[in-house]
Amino acid sequence: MVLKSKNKVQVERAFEFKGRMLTLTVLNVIENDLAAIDQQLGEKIAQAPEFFRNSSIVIDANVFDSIDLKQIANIVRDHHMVPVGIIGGNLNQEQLAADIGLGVFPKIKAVSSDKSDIKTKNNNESEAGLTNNSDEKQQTAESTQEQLVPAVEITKSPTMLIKQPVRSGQQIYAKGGDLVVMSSVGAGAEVLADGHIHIYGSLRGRALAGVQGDTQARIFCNNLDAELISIAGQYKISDDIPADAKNGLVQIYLDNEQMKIQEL
Amino acid sequence: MAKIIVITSGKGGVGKTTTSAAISTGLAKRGYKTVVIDFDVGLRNLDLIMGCERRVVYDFVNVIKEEANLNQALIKDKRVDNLYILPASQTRDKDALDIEGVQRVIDDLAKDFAYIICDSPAGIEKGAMMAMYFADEAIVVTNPEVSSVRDSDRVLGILASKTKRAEDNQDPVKESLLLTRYSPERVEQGEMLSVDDVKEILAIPLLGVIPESQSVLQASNSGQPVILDEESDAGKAYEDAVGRLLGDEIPHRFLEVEKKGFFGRLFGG
Repeated sequence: MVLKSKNKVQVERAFEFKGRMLTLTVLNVIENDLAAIDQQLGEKIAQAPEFFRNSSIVIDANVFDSIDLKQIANIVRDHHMVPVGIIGGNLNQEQLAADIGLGVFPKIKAVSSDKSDIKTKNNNESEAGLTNNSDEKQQTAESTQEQLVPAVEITKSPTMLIKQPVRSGQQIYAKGGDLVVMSSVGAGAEVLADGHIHIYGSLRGRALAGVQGDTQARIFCNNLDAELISIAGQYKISDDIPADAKNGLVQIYLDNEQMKIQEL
Repeated sequence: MAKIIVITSGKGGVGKTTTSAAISTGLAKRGYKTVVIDFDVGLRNLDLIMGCERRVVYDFVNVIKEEANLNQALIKDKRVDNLYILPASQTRDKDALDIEGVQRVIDDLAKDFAYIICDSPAGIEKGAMMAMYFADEAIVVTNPEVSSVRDSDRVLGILASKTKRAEDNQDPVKESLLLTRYSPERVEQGEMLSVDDVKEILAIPLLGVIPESQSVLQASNSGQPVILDEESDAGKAYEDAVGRLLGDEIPHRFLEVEKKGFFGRLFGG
């Protein structure tokens, strides 16, 4: 029974919005052949049915103007996955997506400027972000996860500058650029950037660079005592960081998908 | 204009109430009209430490709810002139505090007092938020051990983002560190974080270091703020801290085992 509140009950705050980085699987249509998509999707899922069951799918509408979003969404549903939105569509497609109850994800702006063609495909497994427990799944399932490829636009990425210490419980995300922290990042704090992360004090919390998948991103810090370091979804936790790498100026980068920690 | 100082820590049991009692008593002793407010509604302790538990008639919540006026609730300290205590309610919980009510009480007090000391409850929930919301300065009480330091770090983050000063884009709350229960012997044996370790992690100015001392417990049990025990190391250290709070340059004491030797033997540390 619902209580009718005559004497107005004051709920201080019923909800809050939070920005979170999540891993999403993007369905990237290469051939606009619905039957083939249906069949091949079935085969792919048969390899790792648990991984795909009820997973959220974003449909990349970039390739074909004539792509039949509604049919593709139905195919995805038939395979027990949940289409949640489209990315890279034109205005018509965005309208259509809204009509059939799909969300619209904004296009990803350029992070690195070395690609001038509109779209390069690769089937590398890379993440559009990072969640703690999806990584194991990631490795077991040969997935269709696709790097969200930068658009053509070359903009100067803004660098975020933090002058104060980043305290336990705080989270700072430099979207679309680098992050410079002039002080320390405390245990229990988290700093994220689409580009590099520079920390002039100690890193005792978590630092995640290249969270949109930029494998060229690096982390620089003075005293590495981190709970977790991550570049483009690859990560190491504290226990995996060699003790001898912890003092002084270090950089962390990816070399052939291997995370390297190097003194400077 | 009254200066509002919150005594906070995040972690419980580190000495917030002891510090609130000592700092407010120290300020009053130096002639500043001071009130200390217990924000720990439901777990009232400040009145015990201040030795006025038998004189509580009305409390902070009564004033917020307009069931009593300030003059009825304020308890005048018997030992030190210029010192008043606004006790918490023991029979209510933190939900009895609301921001408008707290603001009204603090505004009223600010007309009359030079210093308003807010004794925060542990945690980062409503009571603690209310205690720090209107603060101009914060004294972060920390023990030299990792969990206390981390909680203090968390509280410093909240002070920088969730206080009235932060929300109004004014100058930030002035933060300072008070390290309590410090034992140079145990630091030397590597059982405790050193002053420098804690300063390095928290990166805020050091207001004082209060040595671990029997006299703190004795003072608490007898309802006498430890700062009034002028013979004890802890009392002296609090006296120094009050001086620094008022802008005096006073060198830190009780940091070294050797230095402490003489005093330690004399007064039993």
